[in-house]
Amino acid sequence: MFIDARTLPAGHQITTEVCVIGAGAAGITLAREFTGKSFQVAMLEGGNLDIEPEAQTLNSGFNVGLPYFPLDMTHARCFGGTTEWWGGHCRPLSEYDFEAKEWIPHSGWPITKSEVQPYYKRAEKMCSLPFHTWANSLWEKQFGLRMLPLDEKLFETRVAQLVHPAPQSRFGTVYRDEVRKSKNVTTYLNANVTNIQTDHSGKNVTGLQVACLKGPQLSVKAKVYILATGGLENPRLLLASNRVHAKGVGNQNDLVGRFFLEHPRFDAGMFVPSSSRPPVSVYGVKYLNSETAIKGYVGTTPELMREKQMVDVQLRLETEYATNYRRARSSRGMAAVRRLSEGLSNPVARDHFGRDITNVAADLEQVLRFSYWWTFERQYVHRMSIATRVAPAPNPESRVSLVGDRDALGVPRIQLDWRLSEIDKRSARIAMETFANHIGHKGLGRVQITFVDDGNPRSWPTTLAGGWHTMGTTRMSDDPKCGVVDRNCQVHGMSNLWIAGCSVFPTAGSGTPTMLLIALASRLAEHVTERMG
Amino acid sequence: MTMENSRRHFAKKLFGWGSLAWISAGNFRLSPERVPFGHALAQVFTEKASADTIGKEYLASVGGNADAKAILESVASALPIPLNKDVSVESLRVLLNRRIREDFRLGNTVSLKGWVLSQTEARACAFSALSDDRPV
Repeated sequence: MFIDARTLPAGHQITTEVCVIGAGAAGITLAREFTGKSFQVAMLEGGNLDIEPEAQTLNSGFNVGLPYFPLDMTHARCFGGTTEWWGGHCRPLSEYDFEAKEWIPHSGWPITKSEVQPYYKRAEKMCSLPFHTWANSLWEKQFGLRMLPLDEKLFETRVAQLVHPAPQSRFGTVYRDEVRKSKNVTTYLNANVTNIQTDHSGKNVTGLQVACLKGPQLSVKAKVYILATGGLENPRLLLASNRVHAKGVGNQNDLVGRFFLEHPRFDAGMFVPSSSRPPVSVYGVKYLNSETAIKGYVGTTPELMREKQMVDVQLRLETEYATNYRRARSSRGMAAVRRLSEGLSNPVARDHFGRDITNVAADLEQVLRFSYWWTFERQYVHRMSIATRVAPAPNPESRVSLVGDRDALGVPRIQLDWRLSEIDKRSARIAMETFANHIGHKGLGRVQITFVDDGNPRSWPTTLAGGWHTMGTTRMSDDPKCGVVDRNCQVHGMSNLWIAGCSVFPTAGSGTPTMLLIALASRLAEHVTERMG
Repeated sequence: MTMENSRRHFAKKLFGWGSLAWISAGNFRLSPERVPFGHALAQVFTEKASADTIGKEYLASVGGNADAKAILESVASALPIPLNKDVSVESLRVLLNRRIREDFRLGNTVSLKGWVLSQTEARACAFSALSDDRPV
């Protein structure tokens, strides 16, 4: 059932057994896992069913570190959360990602990949992935895609599956009816948690304060609380809940908000193949059919990382086509050609037949240019751009903290000081140099490296960007002095508070975060269900 | 010329020069006639203009003082044939290509405007740039 919290009377108290704060990928996973169980669940979502600008402004904050996206754009405050603009890339982390590395401080998970593996299978299903294997042989044998013959001690080809096309990746759309029909899960929309209340010991959550934009103030009482509002809002709420503990809930060791992780990416060079038809068809986004897409990368192997004492680096190769063909591809004439093509099976498109024919005739030069390219040039690869994506070393100085400014509901805003480390930059350089040497050694072509490693982790290429992955701010560790949550995602020192989402990741890893956060949320749901008896 | 334009120009030149690998794979049939080492090296590139561009970059990177004889000797010293022995252009290409790959394996590379090139290939290009010989 969905309830708009704005319609509830002021001062209303929601009483339940399990309270999930946030209805994004993690929250919806929890709601689905809890459906049919013997206990009552209330899921609180700060936004509405769809993204609304006023609710988004509650996410606003300040970037004071490396250039980053505007904070009100990094996560969506609505049912479905940030899956509303998720790119849909899915690839699990490797076993090696979970291991501690002596040359990377603060690395390693308290759990292994094998402990997460069964839940990864559930995540694949939840993401509606078309294939349940990650072996490269599938793409080679079944789809004839070609990969660079890389030395397996240095590099590996990694292939991500894309949840495609939208709205399959929009959990707020895909799972709306299922969650609505759940008999024991009630979803409260427009219900923003503004404070986590604890008893005097600070070890037990006793309730939540909830506020609606232009609406009433409410409260929630539950036995168990699960915070699932994302990598920036999770620490914000813990830090802002400072009435008993001045440092905030779960922050007795000053770790909440620290170790903010992203997957930094930037342009790093160019690959010029020695053959115009190199074995690279798996790299970049490939549409296998109308419902299936994948994206291949080159990644560093554990052997190389061990030898060079580096972090994981992915090289993203994208075929570059001449500007005039790119222009032709997106021309008015070609858009009309595509509609005419669709019109063969789509009656709506057929309605514009006359206009589309006119557009093709008026833009014939671009249509012919594209046709020539499609027929004669498409299969040739003259050069490929290389962008790197680094799985950075955990850095305690990379952090989210509160500022004096408050949002419309009175919750302190955050500032994000995104930082990277010297090892991250060095690793990108080593990966590029090793790749350049390897490509030359194999006779596959030559590589240009366009980024300079000056050893300064504060200066990066102007193309530096994140991957919209906000991780690490309530990291997992068995040791309360090294992490905010334990291996079961329970906040250290708290009897009834758990956290779901990317914020519990202690490292960024070589895969993508969404499937892992779903897997961990499934695992957490099982743990809480056992706990509920 | 801006840095970006300069890079594009260099890349364009490099594309043509990339044909070295194809030639050694046997796509071209060349005269088996043996000529002095220096003559063969001057003729080894089918895209001499591209090789010269790279060669000039290399010469600039080492201070521009290298003379053709010294560079010729350094290229020859990396190959399993004596400098004073005649060699066919075709067999020199095979030997050079093998050496270039080995350079990459060993990390004997130079960076010219960011392009990672083998030491031997950069020196061969430099010799081409200093040589008046035309390709066959």
